[in-house]
Amino acid sequence: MNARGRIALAVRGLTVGLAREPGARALVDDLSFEVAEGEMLAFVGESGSGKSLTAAAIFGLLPFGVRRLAGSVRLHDTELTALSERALRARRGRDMGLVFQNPLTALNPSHSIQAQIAETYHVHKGGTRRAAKERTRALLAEVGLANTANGPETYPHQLSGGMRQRAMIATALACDPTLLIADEPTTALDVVVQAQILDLLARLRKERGLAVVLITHDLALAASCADRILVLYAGRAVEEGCAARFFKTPYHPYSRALRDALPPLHGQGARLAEISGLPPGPGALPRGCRFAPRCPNVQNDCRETEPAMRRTEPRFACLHPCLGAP
Amino acid sequence: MNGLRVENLTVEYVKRPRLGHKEERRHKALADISFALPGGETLGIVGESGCGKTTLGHAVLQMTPVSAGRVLWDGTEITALKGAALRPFRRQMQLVFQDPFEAMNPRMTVDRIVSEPLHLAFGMARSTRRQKAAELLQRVGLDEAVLSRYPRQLSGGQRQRVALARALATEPRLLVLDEPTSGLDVSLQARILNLLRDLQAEKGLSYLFISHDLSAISYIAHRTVVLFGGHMMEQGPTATLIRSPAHPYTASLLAALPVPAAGRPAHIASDPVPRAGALPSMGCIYCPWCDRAQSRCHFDAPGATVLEGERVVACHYPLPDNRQHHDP
Amino acid sequence: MTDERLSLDSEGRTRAYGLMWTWPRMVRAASAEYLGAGLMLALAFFCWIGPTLYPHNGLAIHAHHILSAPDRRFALGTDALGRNVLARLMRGGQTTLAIAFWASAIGLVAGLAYGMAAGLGPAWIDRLLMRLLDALLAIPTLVLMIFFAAIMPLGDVGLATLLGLVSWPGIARLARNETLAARERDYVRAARQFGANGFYVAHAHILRAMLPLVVVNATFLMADMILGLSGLSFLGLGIQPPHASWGGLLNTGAGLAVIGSWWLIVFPGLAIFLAILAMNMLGQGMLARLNGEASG
Repeated sequence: MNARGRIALAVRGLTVGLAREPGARALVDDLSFEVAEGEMLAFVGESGSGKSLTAAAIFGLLPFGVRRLAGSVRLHDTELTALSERALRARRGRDMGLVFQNPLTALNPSHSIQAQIAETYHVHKGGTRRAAKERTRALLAEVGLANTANGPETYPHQLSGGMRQRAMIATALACDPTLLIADEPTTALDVVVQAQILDLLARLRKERGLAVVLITHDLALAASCADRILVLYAGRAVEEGCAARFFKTPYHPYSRALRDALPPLHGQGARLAEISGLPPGPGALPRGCRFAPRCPNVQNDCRETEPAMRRTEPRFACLHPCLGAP
Repeated sequence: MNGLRVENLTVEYVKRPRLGHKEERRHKALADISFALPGGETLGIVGESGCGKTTLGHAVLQMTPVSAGRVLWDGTEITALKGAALRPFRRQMQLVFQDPFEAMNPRMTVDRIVSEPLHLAFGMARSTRRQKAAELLQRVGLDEAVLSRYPRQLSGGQRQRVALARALATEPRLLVLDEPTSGLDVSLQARILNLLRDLQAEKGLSYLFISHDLSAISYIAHRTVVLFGGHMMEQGPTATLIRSPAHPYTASLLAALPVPAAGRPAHIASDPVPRAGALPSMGCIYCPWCDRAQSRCHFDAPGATVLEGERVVACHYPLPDNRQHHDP
Repeated sequence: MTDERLSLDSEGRTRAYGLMWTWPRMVRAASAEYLGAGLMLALAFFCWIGPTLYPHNGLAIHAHHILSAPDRRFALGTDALGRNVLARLMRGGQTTLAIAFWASAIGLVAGLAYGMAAGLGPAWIDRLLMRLLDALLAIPTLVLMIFFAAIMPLGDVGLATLLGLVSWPGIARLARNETLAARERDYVRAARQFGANGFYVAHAHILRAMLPLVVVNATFLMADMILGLSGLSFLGLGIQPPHASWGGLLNTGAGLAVIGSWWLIVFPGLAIFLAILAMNMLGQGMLARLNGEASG
């Protein structure tokens, strides 16, 4: 944690659950984390671990029937949970940007990319149409779409997957947000394009001091580009730490399982480690540690007490962590 | 020869001439691809989207018309066969589609989906079909209870397994797997890859494994073909190819893989130009993106050259063999 | 999913059957198909169960009650020959609805067969069949019907066949488009790879995929058939006297309405209107539901 910038986003005790049954166990349970300016934090977990729900809760865009039950979300000096729906909507476009896995559903197919970016800028920042156009050109050039920036009106279907994702990032950046959340931004892309998009994100956060939250299921991807990693399992944080350390020595058995499930580039002899079973649904959480039924290190006490997150480094929530050999 | 052999395979799409233009426009989806896949082995096909990987899979299975070249299965030229003569070969070669959801009729239950090939290929009776379908599902690690579900009621991993079970129903000897793990979580990907390995060991299946992900390929494929813009860039034993790529394009694919905690390689970061746009009409097809390109590359298309270690590369200036330095 | 919705949308809007009008948005909501089905059931009840509850012969001539207005004895009055209009309306409804039903069934089967043959066959077959269809569509349906009905006298079966055979091009075009969309789906290619022939693909996959849409269109077709048959009978080319049909009743009533016998045209007209309304509501409701299912 040396030389971190100012804290951009601070989430404390965030709990998200079903609106109709506040008593039931939560979908996201008591989650706390911070992202500094210019830092990239990666959420890693299988589908259904609550990664995307956490992002939605930060944005105040939870799906119908799901509610934030407790916790605070601070963006710089503003407590977002205290804002009215209207005030939050204004901040959403201006201070926070969101990038989805599938840009085709997020971009309007019947308006040109240029018009969409200019519109976003115009709505939030006001000013003249000409200023909005100028801004659009600069943004498109910044994300590596120089041809589109100076060329004719371009519609989403005319772009390749990678270029669409660049356009989506330009849209998210239209109003100079301080926080960018990227939800599986490269899952639908080829490795080469994926590398280019990740480079773009890395450059943006360096140049703009942007705080980035990257949501992914791929631990190698997270470890290759994020500063810190937070592993989520069934709605709870199970391990958090510096990315450089993470891939070498994960402490939580789940983090280790995620790492070992990746095919190694060299050495095809060994069988891949599988994680048996599936993550539990919100209605069927086991007693004690949530990972216990699938854990290779499970012991009797794991089934009784739910481990708490350690307050000091290394931070993990496990009674019998993996120590010693990597 | 036992197994699959592809010789100078070319797939060309002819676009009708536009108004005012006399010449018809031809688009080569695949140009002069040759490789061999011995029985019981896995051949990886790697490249970016639009490089012709999927077309190659379809052309091998005679699902798309072949313009030139031959496809041989156990020494029989199946590109020369038609209709009824081709049918027994179709049975032996199956495709696992890229999107398992698209490949299943949404109005059919899993039972009907998996028993369809049993009915079509063997004319099996209805009662025995259900039992056989349950067996097939069991082999790919699915419970019998899945039989009465519809595709939309299944998870992504379950759907991929059902697709696999259906492809296995005709007792094929070759499976073409088109991006079988894209869109799956890493934990599910590991299970599918392990399952594929187990099935290969058990039944001596051959796989044509199509993917854009070299790490998945490295785990499962014995040999690998690298495609770019419909052309073969390089092929060779997977381990060699990954340790010491001979073609600059293979090297760039490797460099694009996320390397944990190592930061991004510099030359990718300095390459913000997306690899889209028109391919060159003469010279090496990769040349506009190649950082080793020299004047010769712009007009003289390199042919396939055989290097030591069973490697074939289409490049005038291949990268040096640096296997010795990397060997542990 | 998206493909399905797109094709539904374009079909839903381009399906232009001669005289059909667009139903106002008012009843377009979820209840439309129930209202339509209920109305249709009520009409069928009136036509088939009605005669047992109201046992009067529609052919019997009451010489002393010629052109009597609706009263206690003849609820809907009598016609120029002194026949009971209510009884004739019931009998006429039986004929009209039954012929319309069989005509749409014939049109549906013919259209499906033609459209799927075009969609599944080689490109030159498709081109040939579609050009033929264009030629057929260029001739107005009503003119075609009048032509055939005028050159040969037709019984009930003949009428149903005639109506069915002039009505299928719409269904054929729909079936052909849906078939073309479905044959490129991966699940159809998979079935081909397992060794399926065109016939298997047609009934196991393509028919299954487009059946709901086709059923919906069949209801619109039936509405058109009721109208077409009534039109023919009105012109004196449909069901021949003394047998009753709704259109025929209108025909004989039209001349007498000017001298004040309003009941002779109001009731048959109302019956035709209600029947067409019912079928259109049923179809619109089901179409809306189908669109909703495909997109959600």
